[in-house]
Amino acid sequence: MADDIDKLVKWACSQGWTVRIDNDGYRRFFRPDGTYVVRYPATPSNPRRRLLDVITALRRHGLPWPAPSKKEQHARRGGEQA
Amino acid sequence: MKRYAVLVGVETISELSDAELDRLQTTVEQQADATVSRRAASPGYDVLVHLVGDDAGRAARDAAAAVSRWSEHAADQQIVEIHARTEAQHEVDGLAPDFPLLAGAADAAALLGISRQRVHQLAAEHPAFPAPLARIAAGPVWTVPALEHFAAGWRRRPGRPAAS
Repeated sequence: MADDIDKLVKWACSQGWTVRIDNDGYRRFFRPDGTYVVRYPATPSNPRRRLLDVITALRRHGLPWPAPSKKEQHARRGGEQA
Repeated sequence: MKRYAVLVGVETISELSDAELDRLQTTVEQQADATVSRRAASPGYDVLVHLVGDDAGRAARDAAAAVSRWSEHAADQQIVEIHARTEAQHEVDGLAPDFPLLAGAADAAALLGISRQRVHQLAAEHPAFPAPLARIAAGPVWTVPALEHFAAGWRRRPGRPAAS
């Protein structure tokens, strides 16, 4: 799951967003215009749910959300078959 | 009983400062399974509350009541949006892409089982071949669903066309 939040941070930064990690371990997401939107805790009780909440918030602020890459789709299909 | 994700949108007269939003986030996170974010559509904030309920209507009412409790000391604000979904639907909606998969000529060739040259030939000659979404320096770009739609209805006739 840490991998998933890192992927989200990487994607958001690639789209012009800024993500800062504060002393408490919160990842704070800022829009390209510098507006603070939402934070992701250092140790969320339910990482998957919290990640989805953050994605929902970022998308409401205009972060585009692409279809999974071919590699990811292939990995998911493989996971389903396993 | 099902798990629901309820989005409660709260509008405020003026934009919350980062510190105010932070305090609210801390308050809410201590009391519930919820995430607070700045509201995009207007000044204010959104709270995504996760709870268990008998039905979506009840979950929406419970979430709205909880958000009202958390914000009782904050004046000049009102709930302007409530949207309850099952957790499963929340996940599907949350991860649904904004735009379809895209394909260049090589991808289209692989999808249709033909050569890249034939893709360009079809694009130029076949009346049912989808129009590209965009033309970039690397060539035309199509959406995969449009190509799949074409492939489903395409009657392939191998070999050279008969001389007329």
